[in-house]
Amino acid sequence: MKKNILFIAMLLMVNYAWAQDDLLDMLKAENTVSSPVLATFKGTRIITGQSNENIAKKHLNFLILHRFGELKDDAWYYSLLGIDAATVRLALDYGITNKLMVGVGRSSVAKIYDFSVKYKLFQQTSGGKKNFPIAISYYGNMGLNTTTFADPTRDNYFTSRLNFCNQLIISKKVTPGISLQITPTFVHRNLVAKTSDPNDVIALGLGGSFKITRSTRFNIEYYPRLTGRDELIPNTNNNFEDYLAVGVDIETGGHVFQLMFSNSTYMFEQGFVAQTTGKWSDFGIRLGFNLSRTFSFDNEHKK
Amino acid sequence: MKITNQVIGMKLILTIAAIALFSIANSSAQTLYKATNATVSFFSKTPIEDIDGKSETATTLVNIETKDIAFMIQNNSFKFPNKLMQEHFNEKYMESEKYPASSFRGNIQEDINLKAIGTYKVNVKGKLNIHGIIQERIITGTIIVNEGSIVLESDFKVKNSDHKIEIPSLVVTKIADELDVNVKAILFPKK
Repeated sequence: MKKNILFIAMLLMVNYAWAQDDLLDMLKAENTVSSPVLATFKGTRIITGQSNENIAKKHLNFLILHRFGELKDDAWYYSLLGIDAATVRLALDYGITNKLMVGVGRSSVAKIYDFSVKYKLFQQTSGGKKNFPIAISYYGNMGLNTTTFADPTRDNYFTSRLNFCNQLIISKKVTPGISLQITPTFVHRNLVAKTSDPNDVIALGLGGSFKITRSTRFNIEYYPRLTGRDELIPNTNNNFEDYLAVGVDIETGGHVFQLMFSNSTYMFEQGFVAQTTGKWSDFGIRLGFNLSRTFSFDNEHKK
Repeated sequence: MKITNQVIGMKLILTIAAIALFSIANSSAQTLYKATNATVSFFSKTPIEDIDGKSETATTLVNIETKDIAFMIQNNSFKFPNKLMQEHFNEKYMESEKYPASSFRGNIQEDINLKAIGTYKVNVKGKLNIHGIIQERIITGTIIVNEGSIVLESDFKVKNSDHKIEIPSLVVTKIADELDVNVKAILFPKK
């Protein structure tokens, strides 16, 4: 019985202590809401390929992308690291909702206009009792080649100018400093150079981003093709190469600068997935940069 | 016979324990006031840029017997007009993945009766935890005790450097070192 009384006394004491337990611990116990993981990547693209990131609702992102000439073409000082052979893509991306982004761009290479849509199907979440471990987005774009047809005497169709890309973007912020992504990519071209060339190319994009400091990251992306590997570069006996790029992000508040070396001159999927020509082993790589600036048109808070 | 006695004894003890538990839980409920949608906003003013963030989901507890106050806010609940700033706030400055919440735990220094209706100017002494760095602070504010509710209001300043929130030199002209923080909570008896 003595034991039992002691037990009650202890129970009461514990109980009393619990009732007086720190208020903060009581709040902590309640603060377990899961919320979307932020900043898996710094920008809407890891380097040239898409990341899982969207532009927020009512925000507009202006992008200037440049790829320069291949470093092997000239002595580095003759064309200043290829800058003399610059190509450009200008693009605008707009967030219709926080999950749906649309974009339009124009590349100097092949005078291609591209129209894109990216939708967040699932977001990675953290902080809660039940979290979703990965993020999944869909990205699709249509390219419109506006160069004059090579042979105007032939029957040329408008549809020949079109090419398409569909991607599933599967990403995960593994730690606050490491983000990884797998990007199954399906490219379709209505018109190809030779009848033997495939219209469809399937690639498996791989990407990673590694935090260096709070404002800088190291990025890598690689798009090995699973089909269409024997397509030849026109007028050569060489096959197209798999796209590989490494770069850094430098973020300065409103701007994100991305500097990279890549083996493709293309700045949209149909080009760099299927028509990359540069060989890393031959120094067929190009310096390039992306510059992005985000503007907010969200005035809701001012009401 | 002995066994039966013990069983009865145990039952009695359990009943007492249950009653004790219930009564304590009950009495603590009467002394605790709670808010789950307290508002916290902060402002950074520099000649180049004004930045403001606001959250309406902070949680607060006040014990009117002991005059203890606890306050907690999820850092990623702050909303900014510019979503890029919101991302930077979490990613670069608060490091919300490492330190998901900011909190304050303090005690009202004045000898006041929080059961009596009235408006009280108070100094709350306690620990302010932001970015994982705890600072001893005395925060002044106003407590308004109404029938069935308590309103807390406070304006205070937070220095980034006090909480090891480093501002990179590139944006140092855009972010004030001292932020103005405004807190308002309406608390009701905790059920």
